[in-house]
Amino acid sequence: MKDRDLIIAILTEFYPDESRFLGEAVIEDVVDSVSLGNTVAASNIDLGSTITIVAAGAGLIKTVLEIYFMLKQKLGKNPTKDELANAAKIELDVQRNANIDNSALMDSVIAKLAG
Amino acid sequence: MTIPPVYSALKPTILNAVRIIATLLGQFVHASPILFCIFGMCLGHFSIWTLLLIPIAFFSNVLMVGIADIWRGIVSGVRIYYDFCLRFAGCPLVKYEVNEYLSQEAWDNARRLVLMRAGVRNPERIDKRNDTKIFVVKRNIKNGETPKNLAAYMGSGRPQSSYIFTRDTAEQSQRSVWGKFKVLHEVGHTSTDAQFLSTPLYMGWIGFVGVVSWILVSPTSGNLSFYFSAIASMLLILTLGRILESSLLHERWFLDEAGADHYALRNLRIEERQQIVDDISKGFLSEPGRSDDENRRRLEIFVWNSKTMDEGESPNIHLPSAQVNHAWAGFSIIGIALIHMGASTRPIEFVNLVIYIGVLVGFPLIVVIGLFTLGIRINVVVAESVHKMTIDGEPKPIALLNKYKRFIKPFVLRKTR
Repeated sequence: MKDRDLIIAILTEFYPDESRFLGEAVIEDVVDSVSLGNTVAASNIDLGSTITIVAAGAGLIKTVLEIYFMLKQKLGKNPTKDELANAAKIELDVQRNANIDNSALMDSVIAKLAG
Repeated sequence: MTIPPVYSALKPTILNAVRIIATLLGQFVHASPILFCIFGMCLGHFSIWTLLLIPIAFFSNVLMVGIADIWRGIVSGVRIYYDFCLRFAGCPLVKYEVNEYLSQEAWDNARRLVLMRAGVRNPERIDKRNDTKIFVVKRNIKNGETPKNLAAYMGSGRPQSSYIFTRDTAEQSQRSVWGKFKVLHEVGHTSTDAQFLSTPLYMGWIGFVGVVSWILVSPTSGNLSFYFSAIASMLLILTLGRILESSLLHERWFLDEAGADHYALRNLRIEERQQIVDDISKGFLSEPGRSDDENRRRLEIFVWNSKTMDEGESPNIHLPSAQVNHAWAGFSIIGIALIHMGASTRPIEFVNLVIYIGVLVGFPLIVVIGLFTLGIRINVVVAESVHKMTIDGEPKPIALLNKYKRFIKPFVLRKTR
């Protein structure tokens, strides 16, 4: 499975309601960091706040994946759950400092990657 | 089941009966102010010429509503060009048929709602061609901005003249209950739009101002006190009308959204409705630009409508009518003022009738013909521009709109919802 597909799979699993609400195309745009705009005079349902939540999750998953593959290269084997969690702790602290608590999502991603 | 507080005013009391009568009268005044003035003329100085004014006033009102309808179509076309085609130039479009997103039943419901509001008694007899334009917007090929959600532009009060731009294909949309809901909600906007409550009705006042203006300059009404009372009444009416209009427009967002939500809910299965109701507690339908109270009221109505549908009760929409009624009821007082004004005029003679026909029918007819020609032209060039985006993602330039972009764009791109 490609990284992008993995990120989408984790996002839709962790944010099932938000993913259903946003729709597949928008989820893919969020993962690919596409610049998303909105119309002014049309009628539409505002997706902005939900996109912010999912985009924060997507950013975290990307970071954890990067750490995972970096550790894998460094250790020469798949990192364990604890190794990955320790390495990712720094990123989690950064997120906490920004008042975003994604610890549950982090656990879910680590569990999926490290088994 | 607990009735939400907004419905408490609908209990069958004498006060509510008076309020309902005042509301109906007020709505009629707002729709046809000229008729009230002419009714006053009949009471004051009855003559055959005054009687003839009644059908003329009716026809004038039809023309006024027509002007509003055509005008909306023109503005909608111009909005599509500035707000979508130019903003998202570079995003290729793929055209879909509406029945790939909606069931035939859901589409028939939308058509039926529009036709019934237009006064058609047997909407089933009308042709049910399925020509709402739905386009799937692909990602910008030049790495520019891509729309993040659906955009629906309401045409001239008919679903056929509306455009819906969505991100998900029909297959993707059908896989998720929110995908279905979002498309149904936008189609609901095209059929239950609150335009029926304000814009066309407001046009009736233009005809009325025309009549009163003519009365004021007419050499046959030489009574000075009448001039003053007419001017005072007109100022009062316009001021009061403006205040009430603002009150109605304040409600317009709520009525628009509640109406579209209701249509979408009606066309979902029970289990799908339940899933949507469970999800909205996460604030999916809350709009950041609206107050907490407005968002709360919308969700309250949403849940209430869903529950009544699940229990097999009346499919009619439940709205907090009492709050809207207050605005309409004020017009009933204006109606009485209009009757008084009509009764104060001098008797109508044949020459006056000819002038009234010119003011009430001739002038609006010329405007209708002019706007209709312009409307067809605008809609054709906008359709061509959108069609070009289905080929290479770039809209076909519209010379007229590009030339006057500086003047027209700020006017049509005001936030309306």
